[in-house]
Amino acid sequence: MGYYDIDDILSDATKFPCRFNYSIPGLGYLEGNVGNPIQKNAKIELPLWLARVLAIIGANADEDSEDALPFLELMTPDMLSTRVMNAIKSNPVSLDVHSINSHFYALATKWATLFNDALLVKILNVMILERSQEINNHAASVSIDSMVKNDPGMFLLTLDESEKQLYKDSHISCKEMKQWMIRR
Amino acid sequence: MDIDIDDILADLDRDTTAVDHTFTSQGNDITVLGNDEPNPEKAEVPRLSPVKDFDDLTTHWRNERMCPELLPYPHLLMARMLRRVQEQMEHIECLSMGFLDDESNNSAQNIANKLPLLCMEADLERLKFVLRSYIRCRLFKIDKQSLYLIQISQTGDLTVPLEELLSKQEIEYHQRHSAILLKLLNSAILRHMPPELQAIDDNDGSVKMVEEPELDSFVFIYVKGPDYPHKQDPMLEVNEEGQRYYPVTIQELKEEVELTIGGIYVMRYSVIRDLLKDRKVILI
Repeated sequence: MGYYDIDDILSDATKFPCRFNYSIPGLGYLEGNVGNPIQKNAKIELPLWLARVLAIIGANADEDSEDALPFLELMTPDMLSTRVMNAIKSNPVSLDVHSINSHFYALATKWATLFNDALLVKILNVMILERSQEINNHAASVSIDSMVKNDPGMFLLTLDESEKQLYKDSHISCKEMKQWMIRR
Repeated sequence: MDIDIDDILADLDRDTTAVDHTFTSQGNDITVLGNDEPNPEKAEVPRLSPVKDFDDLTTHWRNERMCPELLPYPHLLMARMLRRVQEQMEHIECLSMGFLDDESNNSAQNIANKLPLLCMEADLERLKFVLRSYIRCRLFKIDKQSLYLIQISQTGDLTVPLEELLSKQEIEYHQRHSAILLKLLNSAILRHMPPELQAIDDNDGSVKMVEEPELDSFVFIYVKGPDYPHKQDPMLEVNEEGQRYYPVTIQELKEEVELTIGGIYVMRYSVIRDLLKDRKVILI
């Protein structure tokens, strides 16, 4: 997750639902009506790079008060709702991660670090292990004849961006290994 | 009754091999530039030889390729290697000049003499490939960690000084490359930014701009054991099955792991960093 990491930048642009804890003048353009103040309890979607900072920093001038209310409150997004969690728990392999969010792991990791969510980490660990086995199966099945296009199959369309990278790397290494073995 | 005479035999063996060593090293190494070993011990240190140096170079190369951080540059080893490449090139040149003179001789002998020359050339190419790949791998890492290297050399919290970490040419590359990069970024984007956003090594923002090497990434290691098997290694311990191992602790899990000699493990780099520095393990 470096500063110049394109995937990191893309995943940070994902919008999350939040609720404002204050009425702030001039910020109406976040809601779409320029020039008006933003209302307290207004629900809007903000990109994660903005929401993350605003959810930490409090509005109160005196920093020493511990329970200073931050500008906004992050609400649980759809991709981490109980429905999705149950789907993961039941069968991680058949889950269409790509349709939930194309940067699912990156975002879930950020969310878990933000809220110290041990349960989420546990679920993700099981999920990535099970899915990695399936990815390995698909990556290792290499057809030697490069003319025959490998049918991508349904599973590969459900991969998230980081899983795609994993699949690509392991597939290429399997393929090159095989090519090296059969040549001479 | 058995009398154990292994040590006496070993003594005899050492005498003969010692003679061998002096014999081989006479021809090849006239100028000995010194040893890379941190603490050479008189009786145990094998003499410098081109073969051992090449082995060392291969190990350095392999470690550098797999390691997440930049490893210290083996100055003496590289100096020896580069000198030998130069000498061998001149040697081959001389030999091929000789062939030109002998053109009039019978051709059968000429063909027979060409095989060693071919071997020498192929061998030289092989060595040069390893050297090139090693240096290019280091340059790639220097590119990636350029800001980090600047930062740690400024704050002075380096474990090894920059002169030891990089070679002279690498230092020059690092300085000039980062200057060029900075100039490009400055003239393209940064001068349009407000002054407080113009720094390229700002670590206080929401995302750190200086990319540190990922010391926690996983590497494959082979536990080689100490260089000299006879010597007592204070870090080695023996487990119930009589195998010798290095105990290491994984900080996050508070878990102790036994790295038995000859074993292959997947381990976090930060855990085995010191063992790698002492050449007890190698990366594969």
